[in-house]
Amino acid sequence: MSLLGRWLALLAAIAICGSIVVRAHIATDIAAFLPGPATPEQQLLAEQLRDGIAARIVLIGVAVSDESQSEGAARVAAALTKRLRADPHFTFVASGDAKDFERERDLLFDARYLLSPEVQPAEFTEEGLRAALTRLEERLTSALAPLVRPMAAADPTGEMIAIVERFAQRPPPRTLHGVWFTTDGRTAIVLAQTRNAGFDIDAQEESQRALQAAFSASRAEAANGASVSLQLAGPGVFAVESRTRIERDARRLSIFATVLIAALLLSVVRSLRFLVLAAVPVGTGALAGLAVIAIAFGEIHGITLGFGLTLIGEAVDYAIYVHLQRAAPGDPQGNARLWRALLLAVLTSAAGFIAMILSGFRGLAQLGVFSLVGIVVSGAVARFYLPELLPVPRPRRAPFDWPPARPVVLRVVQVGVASALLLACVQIVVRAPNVWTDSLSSISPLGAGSGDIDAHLRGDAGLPEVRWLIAMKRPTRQQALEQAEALRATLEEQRRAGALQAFDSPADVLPSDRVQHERQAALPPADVLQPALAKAVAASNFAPDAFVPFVAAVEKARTGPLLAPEYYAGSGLGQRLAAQLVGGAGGSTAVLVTVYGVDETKAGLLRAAIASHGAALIDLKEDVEHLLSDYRRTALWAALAGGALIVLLLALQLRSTRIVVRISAALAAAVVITAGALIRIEGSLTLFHLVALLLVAGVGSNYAIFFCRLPADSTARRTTLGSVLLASATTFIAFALLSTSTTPVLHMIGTTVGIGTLAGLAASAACAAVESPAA
Amino acid sequence: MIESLTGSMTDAMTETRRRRVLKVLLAGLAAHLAPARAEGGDLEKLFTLFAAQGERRRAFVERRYSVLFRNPPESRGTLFFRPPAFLERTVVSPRREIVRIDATNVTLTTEGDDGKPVERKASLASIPQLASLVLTIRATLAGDLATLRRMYYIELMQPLPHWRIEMKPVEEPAAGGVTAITMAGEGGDAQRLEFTETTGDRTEILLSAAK
Repeated sequence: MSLLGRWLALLAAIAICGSIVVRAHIATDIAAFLPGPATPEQQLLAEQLRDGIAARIVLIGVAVSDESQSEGAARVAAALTKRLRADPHFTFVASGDAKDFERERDLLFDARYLLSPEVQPAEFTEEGLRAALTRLEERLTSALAPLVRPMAAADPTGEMIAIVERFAQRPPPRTLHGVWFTTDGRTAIVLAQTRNAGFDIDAQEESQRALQAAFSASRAEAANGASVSLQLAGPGVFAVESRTRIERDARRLSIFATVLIAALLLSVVRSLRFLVLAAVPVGTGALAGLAVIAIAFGEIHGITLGFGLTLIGEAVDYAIYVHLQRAAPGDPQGNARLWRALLLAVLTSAAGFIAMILSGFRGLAQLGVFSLVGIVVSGAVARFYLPELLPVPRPRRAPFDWPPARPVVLRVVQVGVASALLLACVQIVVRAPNVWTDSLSSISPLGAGSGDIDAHLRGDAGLPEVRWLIAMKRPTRQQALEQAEALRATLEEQRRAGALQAFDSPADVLPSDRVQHERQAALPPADVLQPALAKAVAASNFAPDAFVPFVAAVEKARTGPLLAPEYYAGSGLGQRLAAQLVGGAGGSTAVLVTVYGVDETKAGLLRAAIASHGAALIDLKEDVEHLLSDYRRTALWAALAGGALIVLLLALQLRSTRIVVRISAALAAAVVITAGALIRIEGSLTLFHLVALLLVAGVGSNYAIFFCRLPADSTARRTTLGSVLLASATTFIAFALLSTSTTPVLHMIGTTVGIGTLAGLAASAACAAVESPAA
Repeated sequence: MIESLTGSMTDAMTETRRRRVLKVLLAGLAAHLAPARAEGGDLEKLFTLFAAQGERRRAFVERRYSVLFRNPPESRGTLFFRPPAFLERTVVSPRREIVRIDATNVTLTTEGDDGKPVERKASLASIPQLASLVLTIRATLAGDLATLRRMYYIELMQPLPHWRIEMKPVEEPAAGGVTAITMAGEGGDAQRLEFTETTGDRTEILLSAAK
């Protein structure tokens, strides 16, 4: 194919890839970098956390530095509550004012005969009513009288009290100046629910901007000198935060990497033409990588874009090798050798991404596929397009020879690498049982601080902990509710045994139709109730016409419609119900019972007790940790397989046991030294470090291949050395920059490969061997 | 009982009116007497006497007059107050019941069906009907006139030593809330309290030295 034809084909490929990438959806959903669900219950939970009502909750803290200023915080919180209620971005706002719950109370009161667990036929006989009236008189003369009196005429049997008592299992949040507060009295709590879904990050961002504006206005209006600050937590808040951070990282790091690497190349190679041409394989590779993941994954993740900068550091190496190591024109033999080395470098680097691709993490797999495609395409473009266009290289030889003229220098490097290896082994052995961390917080893309604010506000606002949840699924809503009713007795038992402090079952607010029918059947018709009541009243201290509203209410409940979820529409109870009763495909319904204060030591018993009802106790923390260690084991096997593949590729290409053993030893040393250094710096290793360690072997293999077969001719050797040093410098710059990212996955990979580049270079230099001219 | 109470209230009303007429006259004659301030001064003096009492325990008899009842039920026991916030109401008849209220929480101890004490705890703020009542009683006992004035229009209907005050809430009360409070006593001792509720119920509490 002619030169023109080849370039037209390349441009066409670039145009196709470009059009795919431009149309691709850029995802910033953090879930891709969190472990996926392992069980159906976790699947349920993950969906709920992403799409459900819980994901729309914004926890707002109005903080002051000192409890003495709490009144100021309360005023601002109350003003903020008022403003947010008027704001269309929010559907539900609460801050602890008892008046806020009047509507909820009215709903429960009006449905009391369908909701109360005490509605039974015996209660409405003359005898039952007598007992009820005695109890009522006691209550009306007790300290609770102000509470009971307004309901007494309509609810002499005390159904409302029975309903409310079920809700009162857990201690209410602390209230100061009519507003919820954290226990330390320094942060007023407001709970808001956004109109839009939690995963709609654009909408979430807009809601949060509205919230911030409302806060500023409330502060100006009500702070009255108190210095209040705003704290935000909740799934939507974290999603926005992490997106902002990922976008900022990706943009900042890519610009830095481009500028630094370009400056380095320009200063060393001193050719603008080379610089422009070097961008061709890099750009084509990146574009091809993005196009492939856009097709394979359906979307491109923002983190992948951030990771793209490492491709600049790696792919530019091929342009460097082609430029600096090209044989003089008319020496096809010399170039054939370079092409073999280049092919090997591309293949081993690509093999370095196998652990990422096979880790099972959607996000990591995306990074791996992107890099693999990017490297192969960059290598190919560098090989097939650059040679004709590149300027004649000015010799850029290393300022020193290797192996060094004085053997003692090599010896020093070898001793240095051996000592580093020894120290690393000691480090690993000493920390052996705790080398790995599988906690979610260590890898979660959310900032560590956000979780603290969340836990602080959540715990004190009496919201369910995100850690524990009881879940079960049934083919219909009615079956699900009946199962929840059956579960209640077990949970009550467990509560008394101290396994948990409290629980919220949706069946308390919405009993199954069966139970509602039973309760209706327990209510006597008016012509039966009236005479029984008259007799009971006559025997009591109550006035004959005291309970007229009661008889009417019973008749209405007895003949009225059953409760459905719509009954609670638009109320706080409605929100809770929607979060706890999740409709699935074909009418199947999942029930989520929120639990509070689970005693970890008794969780096993609780799990066993509810299992008989077909319910599962989800422990998000432990489940996630199990899951992560599973992923890590998979990734370890994948990494070992990747390592074996690299060795196999070397063996196939080099066909020399001696050289392959040498290179493998250098790579193993680089990986162990890197692991030891990471444990020293980061404390322990995560899954992300593990997959990056294979990358260290992949990147390091490029250096080892050159160092273990140095040309016999000193000039050629120094040329090779120069290009390897320049290539490793660009790689180091890219990964070192990546390590400054605040996104854990990028930071961890960057740190690992950054250290690994240096370790790989040193280990390869220590293993340096000059190829016999015959080879 | 009800009639005698109403009777004494009417008397008090007429007397206040007479006093007012007198005061206006006096003000006209000698402006420097500033009668309004003199009355306010009396109220402040009374509340200083309340505050000076500090920790105290009183026996009480409580009667609730309600359209629900044929005869007003009566309960007896003791009231204990330790400034600034601790209140304890111990009922001995007709049933034992103890309510303890500290700055933020209410603890209700009743006798369960099995005779064992049953304890229930709630945040005061979660029971607003009770909270405003508690705040009122607490502020009165502690002599905290400033807090009371934020919640009620207070009028001294009869001066020391045999005083009587009437309080009306500043804001519209919630269902079951209090629409008027009357207190009467001698010196720093409150002897009779009466709460009128939105339901029309009245609760009368008579206090005497604890045995």
